[in-house]
Amino acid sequence: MAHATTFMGYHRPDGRVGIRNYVIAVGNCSCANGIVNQIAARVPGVIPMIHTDGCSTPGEFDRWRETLVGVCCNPNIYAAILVGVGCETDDAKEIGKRIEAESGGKPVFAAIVQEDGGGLKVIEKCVKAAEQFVADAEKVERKEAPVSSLVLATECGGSDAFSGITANPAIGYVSDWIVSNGGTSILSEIPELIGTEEILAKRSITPEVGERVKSLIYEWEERTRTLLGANTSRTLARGNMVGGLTTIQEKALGCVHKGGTSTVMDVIDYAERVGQRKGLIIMDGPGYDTDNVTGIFASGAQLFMFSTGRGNPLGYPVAPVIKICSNSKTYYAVGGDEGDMDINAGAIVTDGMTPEELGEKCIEYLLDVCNGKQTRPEANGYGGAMCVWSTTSPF
Amino acid sequence: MKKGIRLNSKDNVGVVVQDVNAGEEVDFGNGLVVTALDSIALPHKLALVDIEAGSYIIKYGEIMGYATQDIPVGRHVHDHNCDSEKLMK
Repeated sequence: MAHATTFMGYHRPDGRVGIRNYVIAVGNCSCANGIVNQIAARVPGVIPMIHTDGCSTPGEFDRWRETLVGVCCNPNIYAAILVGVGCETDDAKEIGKRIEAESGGKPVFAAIVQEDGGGLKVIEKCVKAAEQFVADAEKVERKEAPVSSLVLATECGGSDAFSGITANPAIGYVSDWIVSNGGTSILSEIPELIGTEEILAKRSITPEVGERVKSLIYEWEERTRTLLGANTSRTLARGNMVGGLTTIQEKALGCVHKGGTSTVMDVIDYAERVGQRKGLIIMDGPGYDTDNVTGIFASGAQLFMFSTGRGNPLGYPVAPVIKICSNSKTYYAVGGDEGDMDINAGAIVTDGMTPEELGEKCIEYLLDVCNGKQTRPEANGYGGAMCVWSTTSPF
Repeated sequence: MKKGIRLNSKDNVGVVVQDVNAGEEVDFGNGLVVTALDSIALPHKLALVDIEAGSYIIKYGEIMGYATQDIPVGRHVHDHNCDSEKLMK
């Protein structure tokens, strides 16, 4: 089936294309979250991005800074209000300047509680700026853009033994289609690739990329062993095991299907910008979905395809998340049509749909979502917080 | 007869796609029918052949673990008889 190779998106100053047009209020650290909530409550159309970290953890400062800047630079964001408190590690106004520079002049307003007259005055200033940003955002029109400008994030959460048979191959089908049209797809959740390192290394563009894939997966295996010892083979959530998954390798052999059959072109750090990279990219990041989705969004992905066997409801505040359920039982258990899930991949097993038919349906659905159709997490308001990956403890 | 899936011809385990009671037959296609020794909930695995302790458990045509005890054909395969600890680097 021939699909459209363009969609209608929001063209940004840096040449990237958004599929949503958000104004966000975001904290420079979690101490600003109350103020962020007040600004969002006062200005309809402003999305609060609740930063779960941001200070007092020296081991994470570089990663958190890159993540915050990357989130604000994502093309789904029209403008950002950045709230600092003053005593935190990074200066919010400096971060604001970095966002403006990297995004080619995206509207940014930054205020700092301890410099700008306290929280109440900061709220007033930010509300005023936010009202203007929302009014300006409404004037931006969707214009035609090629599928090659898409960066797809692939994700799985609350997997069961059907995930690797139905939903993940469907995501892989879409990923291959995006790649064949010159776009970019990101595979991450590295601990959930343990045992697939040889498969991915063989598919890598050069032996050097293959070695980087292998060493990244080994690094995670070692990290997991330090935490779990002899239980490393059960790097699984309780629900995964109830859902029929026995070992981390079994889960990973299902997870790897999200990357389809495309060549692995490169390996990037958590939140590192995709930039001009095309094809299938592997991003360092945890299996814990809420932390991983923020990293992929900061890297530049405009949308997620997210498989689940157990019925995980997670969305993202500023990106569409297409939920693909691995089995019909769960699909109907979490609301059926117009419930928590977008697509029932279990139809392959229960309704005689072929994997190709499911893949084609997913591509059409993705194009509709790029053009503005709300995913179920968007329609249901399941956005959540901006959780950021940490590997060290705060002091 | 209940339905199951064998994902790859190398696999020695299959996935049941319907809840199965002990004693029921499960059809894995291509003439492969296995009688379940245990009640098995979808989408858990059962042994398609007798698997000796220490042998690899194969799914998707790849190694996903090894048998920690002898597993007769038709038995539920899960964490009580399958692990992958020794496969770790």
